[in-house]
Amino acid sequence: MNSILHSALRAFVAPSVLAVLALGMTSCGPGDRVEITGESVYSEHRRPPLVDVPSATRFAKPPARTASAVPASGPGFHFHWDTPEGWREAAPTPFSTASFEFGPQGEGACSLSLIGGSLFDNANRWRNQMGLNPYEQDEFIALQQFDILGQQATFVRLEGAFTARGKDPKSDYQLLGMMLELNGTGVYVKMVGPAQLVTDEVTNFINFVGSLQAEADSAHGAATVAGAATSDVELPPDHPPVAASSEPAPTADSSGGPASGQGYTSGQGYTWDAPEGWLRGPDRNMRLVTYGIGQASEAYVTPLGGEAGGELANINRWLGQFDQPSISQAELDAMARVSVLDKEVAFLEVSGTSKNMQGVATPDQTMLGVAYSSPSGSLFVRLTGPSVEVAGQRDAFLKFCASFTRSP
Amino acid sequence: MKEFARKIFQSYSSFGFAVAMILILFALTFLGTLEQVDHGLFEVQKKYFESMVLVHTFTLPVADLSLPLPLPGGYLVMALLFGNLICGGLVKIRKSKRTVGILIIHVGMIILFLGALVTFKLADHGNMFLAEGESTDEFVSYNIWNIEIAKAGGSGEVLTIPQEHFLDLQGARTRTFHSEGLPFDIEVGGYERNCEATEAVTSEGGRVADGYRLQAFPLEMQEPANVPGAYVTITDKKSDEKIEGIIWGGHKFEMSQGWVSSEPLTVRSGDDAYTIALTKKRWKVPFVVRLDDFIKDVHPGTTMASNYESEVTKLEGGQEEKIRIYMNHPLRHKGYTLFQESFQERSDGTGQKSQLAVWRNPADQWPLYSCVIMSVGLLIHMVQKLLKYMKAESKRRTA
Repeated sequence: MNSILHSALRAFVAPSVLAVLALGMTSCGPGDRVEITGESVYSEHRRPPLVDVPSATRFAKPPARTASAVPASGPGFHFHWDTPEGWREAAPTPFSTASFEFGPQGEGACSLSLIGGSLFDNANRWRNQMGLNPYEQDEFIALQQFDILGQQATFVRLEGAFTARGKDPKSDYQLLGMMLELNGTGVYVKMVGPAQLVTDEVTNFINFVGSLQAEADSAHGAATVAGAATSDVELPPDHPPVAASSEPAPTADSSGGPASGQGYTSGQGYTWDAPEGWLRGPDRNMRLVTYGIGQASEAYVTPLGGEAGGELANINRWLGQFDQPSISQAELDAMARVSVLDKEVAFLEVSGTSKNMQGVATPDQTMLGVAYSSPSGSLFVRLTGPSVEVAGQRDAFLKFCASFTRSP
Repeated sequence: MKEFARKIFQSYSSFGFAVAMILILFALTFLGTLEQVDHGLFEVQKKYFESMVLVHTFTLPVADLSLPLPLPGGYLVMALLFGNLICGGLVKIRKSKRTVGILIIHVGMIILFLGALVTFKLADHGNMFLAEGESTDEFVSYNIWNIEIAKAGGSGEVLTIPQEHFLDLQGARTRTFHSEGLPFDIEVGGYERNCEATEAVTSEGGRVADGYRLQAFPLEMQEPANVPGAYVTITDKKSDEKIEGIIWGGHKFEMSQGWVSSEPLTVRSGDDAYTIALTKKRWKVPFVVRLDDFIKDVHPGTTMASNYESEVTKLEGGQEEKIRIYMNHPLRHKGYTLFQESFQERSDGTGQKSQLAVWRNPADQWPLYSCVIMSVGLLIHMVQKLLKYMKAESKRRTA
């Protein structure tokens, strides 16, 4: 009996393990021409798709992915604001009109909410979330007031262990809040995160609150109510000093079109000198800055976190765009060098037919590029365009690369 | 040869091999957890736990050094551990009355592993949005995308291209899809996992369709936040005429629909119109769910939710059944489980929609069965040990 059981189990072992492994390796790709075999039926409960919808309507941008100044609806109002640099907009939640996250891992959150209940009750709800005893009425009345959206706004600053609904308490957190009543509706801006991170983001909080504009719905009368200018907002007496924000943010160009002149020469902790004749172009996603040069050339800078693949991998990727073979580390080390930030990096100059991400080929192109890669952040600088045009920009490009500095 | 095979079997079925696999699983969990901080849950699950092999890169704080370390993937390790359990825990183990408990425990563990495999390969999960009075019989995936082609005003039949057939079509790669029932072929290319369809500026160059292009973004940490897009070239089978277009999964929140995809691309052939959409995968459930009432309780003095639940009616075969779905009390029926996940509403509290998470998992209850079996095994084994001890103790005292 035992031997039969043994044989049966042994016979089962190999096929079962092999079957499990084979299931994991079923990843053979389809060919270049594939018959559509999948079929389903529209649910009668589902709205049928609309036909002949123009591209402009099909590709209308969802609010959460737009860079700044996104309107959001509240009861009787549309809100506008400027999204501070470094904040990422998150999808609205059931509890907020707009949500943002910030910090290296998104540990910090800021939200704009329009909710009922008294300011006093909501301030005490926040204190409860921070593990603090409720305010007494006279304590609440004595809190610092600011002029926001034409109203007296109450400023709250709380430190303690933050407890989000259904989650464990997080110690050493800080909450900044601004609350006011607008036509009977409570408007709340709440920032919460690790104490030091929130302290570092105070300027952005103040800028955000100061940029708020509430536009009344037509059904509720007219008028736009603007937030207080940043400079008008005084910090509470016990607040750490905040550096004045004198630099325009890199995304400040709302026109989207080419700017006249060289525009800003700093952003995201970097500063640089723009060469003569380079014209700042519209802001582009992922780019620190873009310059138009001549008729059809452009220079652009892409900052990325961490090593971003490293110098060699990126140089080889750029070579691949010109159908050039990859180079080795030794060949990279032998290339001409240019000083960028704190080290000498390889200077790439490659010409030929370039292919973009869609595979469209353009002949007689030249790319100049440097790939500064470091664990503390990478900076890729490139100039691309027709070879005849790029040839005259070589010196300017090298000076441009060498001009970059980074704030510690 | 036989001796060699025996040695291999002995090593593979050993307790040491099981410990080694468990330690590797521990290391994968540790390294995956660290990497999750930078790359999000979805990517890390794929790389560390659903893979055969992987390379983890250690970044050394000195001299900008990176140290790549090849590791077996979680899938491979669990498959090997599964085989080890069978070999060591069922085949090799001495079978007697004294090892009945151990055998039962191993059977329970094997069921647990099989349950994980069935869940990984066969489970579907997504969600459904319902306003009060609305009904539905389907749910939508969080992160699996399909291309759907349907004849406008037709019978409702939809041709679907699964994402496995177009995920690799990035850059210049293209693939042509065809069907006898369609008057055109569809070439798909330039697929981007996270992008936005933006108005094209003529000086930019690159691929443009109807004045728009796809602008790629870095992948989001949370996979459901990625919005894919692709270029399509439609070739009419009769005239050979080509039309360029973009399909984009961009979604926006509409109170009447929840998160809805961008409207589809329309292609006309003769008098017929066809829609082509890049949309999240949908599954039918074999019954209809109607939301009768959505109940939200708030914290005193505020409009912040403290609790929310759904009262629904399940309609099936002319029968109606009223069910309340609330925290830790899902609706379970025919292998489907509907949980109260969240809700959506306007900031003034109107336009509420209940958001129900839906799971279909053939191995839904297998962990429970496994735990019961293992508990029985443990109980038998411990009772045997206790009796043995008591017997030995009694003998010692009488001696």
